[in-house]
Amino acid sequence: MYRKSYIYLILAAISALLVGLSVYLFDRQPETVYLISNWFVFKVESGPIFGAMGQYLPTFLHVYAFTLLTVVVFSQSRQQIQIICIGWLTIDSLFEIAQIDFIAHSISNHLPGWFVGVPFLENTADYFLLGTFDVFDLLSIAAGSLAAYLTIILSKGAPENVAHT
Amino acid sequence: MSHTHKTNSRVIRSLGLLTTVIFGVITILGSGGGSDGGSTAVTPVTYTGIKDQALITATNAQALGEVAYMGATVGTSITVASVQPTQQGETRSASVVSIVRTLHAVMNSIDVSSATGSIPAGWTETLLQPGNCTGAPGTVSGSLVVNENPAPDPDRGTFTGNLVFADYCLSPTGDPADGLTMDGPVAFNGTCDAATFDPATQTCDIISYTMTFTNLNTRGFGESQTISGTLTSAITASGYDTTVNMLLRDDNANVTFKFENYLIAVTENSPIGYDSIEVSGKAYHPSYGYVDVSTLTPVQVPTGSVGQPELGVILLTGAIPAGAALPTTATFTFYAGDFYDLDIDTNGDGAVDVSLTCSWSSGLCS
Repeated sequence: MYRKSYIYLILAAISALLVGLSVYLFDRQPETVYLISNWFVFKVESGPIFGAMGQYLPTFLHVYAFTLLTVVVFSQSRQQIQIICIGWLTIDSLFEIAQIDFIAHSISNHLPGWFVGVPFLENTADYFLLGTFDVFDLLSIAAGSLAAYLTIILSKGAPENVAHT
Repeated sequence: MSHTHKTNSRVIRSLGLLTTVIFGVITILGSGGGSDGGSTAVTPVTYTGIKDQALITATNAQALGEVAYMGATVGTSITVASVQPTQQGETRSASVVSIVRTLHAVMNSIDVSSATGSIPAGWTETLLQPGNCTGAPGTVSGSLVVNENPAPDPDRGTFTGNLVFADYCLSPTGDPADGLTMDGPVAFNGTCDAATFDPATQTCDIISYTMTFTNLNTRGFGESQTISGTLTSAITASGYDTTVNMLLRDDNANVTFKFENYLIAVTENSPIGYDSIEVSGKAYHPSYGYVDVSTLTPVQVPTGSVGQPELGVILLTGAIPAGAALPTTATFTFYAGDFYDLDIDTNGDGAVDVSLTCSWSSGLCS
């Protein structure tokens, strides 16, 4: 009976991810983005589309989208929804906090050697070292988590009745 | 619902949860970081000026030369561009040559051997080192991976990495007033001479490298500039050749200049105490268009200095005037001291029509 709401959540999550991707494609410095390095060097010639909001949209949208997706694949109760929201809030916040210089260097110095050459994992050191800790990113993560929770509640109606069909 | 069905459902949901979490973490790592670290969006550097070849005149020759070689800043008129404060308190920006020499010095200064976190399969190094300016050295940090796979791996000796400048100041004298300060990220890759690998110290001799940057901020002499583009350098026996494809924005005036296939060939310590520099390529001024730059006599700059040249002749070649057979030209002849000569062929007849003597300190020609 809740399949329709799941479709809404999936669509919302995908939309959020696409908007987040757009921020990286159009407003970010390509050499700092592992996923799109050198794909869109024309970005130098274009102006920022998202303006100042583009600074914090990705962190907001990431926690928002993945909270929705995780609820779709896993949750059965209000308690699980809350745990998922807090879980992604924690994960995203930890990745942000780990960009503080001394933490980033500590992590980078202790990464296992086999990360080298493994897609995505090879970017781990760069992610922490090149990323910049920003308290406003933490706020946007919290806002994204809250927005995701509200979206889920609104889409499912009474959350205590949520169940997989 | 049977017990088996419930178990299967739980396994499937758990796998879905695991997949979602892994995908979520991967997208975090793939994003390369959250915000750009500031509370305001960075305005990308763009060149929207004239793209045709400039017709060199008596009134624009100095400005074109300043962009082409000496660095430029814009006041009420297009003037100025050495790298020293003027007597009137006017400030002058660092030149493209100064920026390239400073970035090359940074590459040279990366001390891989002192880094920690080495990995036997290759060198994955994290870097954190201060600048050399007294009181405000800043830092450059980043990571570097060197491919040390044995031959015949064609990538043996290649390296790739990133740097982040944080108020990083490099000065030939240690005085911040004589140096450049940089902020922002730079990605780089290049090749080491595999024959020079030294596993004990984890060092190798760099043969070539490319630095890529967007919105890298450089500050010096009271001016702020933002640069975007690439520098590709080949190390030579006596120095280095750097090809510049870059936009340079004077942040104070919000005017952007462009350098296209602009080659800066530096012979170090030739003669002793000086770097000998030859430049060639296209330099664009937004108000006038581009000029072809060439070097008639190598320019000599004190080693390590980002200051003005003390010897050399630079030729700018502009568009051919209507009805003329030859292009307009401007010849800059540098000497030690405050003055340089500027000879201009404004009508394309091959003869000098306007001959001026210009002052570095005042920016004025007469």
